[in-house]
Amino acid sequence: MFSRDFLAGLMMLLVAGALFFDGRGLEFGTPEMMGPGFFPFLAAGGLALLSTILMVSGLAAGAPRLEPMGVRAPVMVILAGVAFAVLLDHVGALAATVAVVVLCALSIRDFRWKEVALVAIGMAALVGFLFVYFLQLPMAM
Amino acid sequence: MFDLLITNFSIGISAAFSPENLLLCFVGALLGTLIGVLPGIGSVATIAMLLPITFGLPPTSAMIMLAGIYYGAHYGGSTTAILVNLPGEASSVITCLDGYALARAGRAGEALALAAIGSFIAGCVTTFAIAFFGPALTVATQWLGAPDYFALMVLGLLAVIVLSRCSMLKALIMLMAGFLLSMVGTDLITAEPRMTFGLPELSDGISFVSMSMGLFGVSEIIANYAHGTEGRIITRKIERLLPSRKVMREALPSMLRGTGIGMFLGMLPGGGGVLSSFCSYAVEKKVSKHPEQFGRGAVAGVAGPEAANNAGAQASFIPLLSLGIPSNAVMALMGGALLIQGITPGPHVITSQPELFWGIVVSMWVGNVMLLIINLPLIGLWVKLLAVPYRVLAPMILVFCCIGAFSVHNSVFDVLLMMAFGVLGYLLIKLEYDPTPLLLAFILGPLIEENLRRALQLSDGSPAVFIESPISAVLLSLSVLLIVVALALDFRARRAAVAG
Amino acid sequence: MKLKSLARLGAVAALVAAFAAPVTAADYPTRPITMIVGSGAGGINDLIARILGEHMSRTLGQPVVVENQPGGGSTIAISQVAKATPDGYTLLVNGSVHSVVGELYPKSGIDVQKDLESVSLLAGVPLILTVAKALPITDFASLVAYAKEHPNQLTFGSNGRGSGAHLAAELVKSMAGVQFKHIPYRTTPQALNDLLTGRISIMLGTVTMFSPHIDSGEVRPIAVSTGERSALVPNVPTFDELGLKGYEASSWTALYAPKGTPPEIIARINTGIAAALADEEVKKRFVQLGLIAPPELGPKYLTSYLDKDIARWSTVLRASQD
Repeated sequence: MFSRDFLAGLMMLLVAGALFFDGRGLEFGTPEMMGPGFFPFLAAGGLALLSTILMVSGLAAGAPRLEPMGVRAPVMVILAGVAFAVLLDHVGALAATVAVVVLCALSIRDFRWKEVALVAIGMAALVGFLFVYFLQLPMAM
Repeated sequence: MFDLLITNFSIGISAAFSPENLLLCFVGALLGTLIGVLPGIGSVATIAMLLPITFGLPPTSAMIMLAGIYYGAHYGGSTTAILVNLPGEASSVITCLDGYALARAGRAGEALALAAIGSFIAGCVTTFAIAFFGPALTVATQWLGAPDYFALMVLGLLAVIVLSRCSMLKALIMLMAGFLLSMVGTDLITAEPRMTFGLPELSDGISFVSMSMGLFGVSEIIANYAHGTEGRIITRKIERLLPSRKVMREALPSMLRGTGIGMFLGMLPGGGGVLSSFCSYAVEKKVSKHPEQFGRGAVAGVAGPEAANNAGAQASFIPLLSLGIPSNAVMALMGGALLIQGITPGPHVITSQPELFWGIVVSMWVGNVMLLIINLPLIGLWVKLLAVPYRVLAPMILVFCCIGAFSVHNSVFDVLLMMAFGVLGYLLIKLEYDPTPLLLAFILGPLIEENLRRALQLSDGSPAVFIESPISAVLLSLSVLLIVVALALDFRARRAAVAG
Repeated sequence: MKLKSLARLGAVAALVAAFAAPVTAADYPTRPITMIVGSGAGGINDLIARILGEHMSRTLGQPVVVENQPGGGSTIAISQVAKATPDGYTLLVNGSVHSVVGELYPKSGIDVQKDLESVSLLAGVPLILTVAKALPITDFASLVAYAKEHPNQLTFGSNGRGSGAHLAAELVKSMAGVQFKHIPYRTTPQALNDLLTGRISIMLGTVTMFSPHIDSGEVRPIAVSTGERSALVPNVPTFDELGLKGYEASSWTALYAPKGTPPEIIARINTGIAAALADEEVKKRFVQLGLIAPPELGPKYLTSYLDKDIARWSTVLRASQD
């Protein structure tokens, strides 16, 4: 397995690469009239260089390993966000709120249905009153 | 001089202390606190929404209420930062670092009280400083040109070397990443989209609220769930609600230093307010006898930046009222409110509308008293919130985050973006990166780029402008010195480690 | 799976709701009207929408909700309204950038003439050209002479490419045959600050913004951009008087509806606009903001105005491409 710093460098190298790739067509320009690409290229280049140094330093023997990562929790929280986005656009704020609470609850081992139901109902009521009715945010009930 | 000041103050007092204006100031401060506590619901949106209500009010009353909302929101933003690691406004990002650490150590009450008292002290000092020097100071900031702003922002950015919690290499990587991410969006000069991956939602850049709430708030939830700590409560024992005399004595110098920093930087356009809280944090860490405590619950790490934040919020009124030049979006909105009232903000406001100018100055002090009255009793209530099990609290926080991210552009895209940053934030925690330099570079990046490009455009490409302006020359020399010293220290530490 | 079917259910429900309540102009409006503003809260378009919206709420009998959808030079707001149901409940308020989005953002695929119905012009904002006081320029003739003697030394500020201030200055350049260097800023106040301290030479902006600085002598007024002189600065000549025949470049704000909105509904909205613009209180606020009411209301005038504006600015923008 790779060391923590190697992975840390790799991740940021990928970020630099992705942004550089999308911005590759931007004009570099001259110092007097810098093009839109001037700064992005410098920043992406700098990020790539520093990340590479970190990766190399992570290759040294005895570099600390990555601690085990949770998978279920990040996935569930992401799903909650996606559900919120989809439901808010197509159904309404109440359904979106309930979905977030339930999906959050599903990511823990010992969840209690009564508690989840109470939180879901309470939050839906709060969101409905405070944000939709009172603050009039542009979302459907 | 003093006679004039007393006359001015009495004009202000008679304007600010009318029963109607006192009530409006209270309503504004309360409303501001509430929206500040709700993550993402910013002061810009609230003030815009309330603008038509103020049409019927006299100009001074309208401004007093809107100003109350503005600094109330600044104040409320730190509450969620301390309690659940959720920065409500850009300026409270830095409060997350030590405020949340204090909360986890069972000292949430103290942290909240320090924030409240720090803001109050800053408010009082700033009110008087504005009365004495406000207009003179504005003229000074007006003379800062593009090269000077560039130099100032560079110096601010390098301060991350001081304030970062991770290794210098990793801090620089975060800085570069923040810089790169800040360039996503429409190029200022050519109006060309940059690195937007063809998404129109990114044409205005990455939403700061989505990014900061994702990196701090959502990633914290993921980390807690992933480590199976969701059943626990954030803190079991709450020792005391108010700081002891000893803690206060320790925090007071930090608050005063923060006030000074906030007052000056708050007047600068753009990132001034945010820069002031970051700079105050860096200064406190530098002067502290225990810099290792920073990030683990240092009292000065909350007191200083909170004072700076509030001082900056108040000082940002000065350029608007004395020059007609708003320094941020809220001030631009205030300028709009004044125009609707038939008052053109500009240099003549102080002389032609003394009751407006001095009324606002005095009402700032009144507003700070009210904020203290509103917030100190609430601390007990907020702290009780931490006794709720995390598995109940987390979904609530997540719902507020989602709505907050949505409400910035009324777009669900920002909710998805926040989730992506939440996962990135979790990865950063696991990979031992500190996201603070990333956020600071994200805020300062556009200012650095914009001012550098403009400086060179105006000088026809000659880099000599950065040395010709004395302010920029001094600031850039300081930046170079900072890098050299930091590198030397880093090198010595490494050699010592090898030798040892 | 569940999510998808739920979403589909939601979409179906929305469609049913749309058809179940047929759009009849006679009862319009029966629910709140949303005005989407293509720029940020507190800007001039936003203020116009809020001032008129507040009055229209009373005359139309339903609340008018103002929402801000800034971003992408208003392309996000335009696409959103273009996609909305054409029932008169979703409207767009946009500024003069409307006529150049097609030119500035070709990739957005927006064609404002095809995607939207005109409702009415709402307001115009006269601009005024000012110079920094340090420059030896006192009137338009000396400005042109100075620009010809010092080619490419005069700089002008604007709040971004395609903004009213940028376009109006480009038009001066092309009509007077001089060169100024464009320095774009993120916001107008930043540019104003650099003009006051003499870092940039000239700038076009609203009369209200400049008037205190003209009074204190910090900037010198040269000319106003409208066909007639402004009541706020009656002694400043128009460009037309100064020899740029036919020069007219005010910033303006207008209201649009999605393509296919019934004409009866557009007419109904127009009665609300007309009532608002005739109101004394609204008139007072317009004067305070330096706004002028449009010469003619209604969709016909706006459409012809927009067509002319698009044609004109595309030419100017293409010529300025450097």
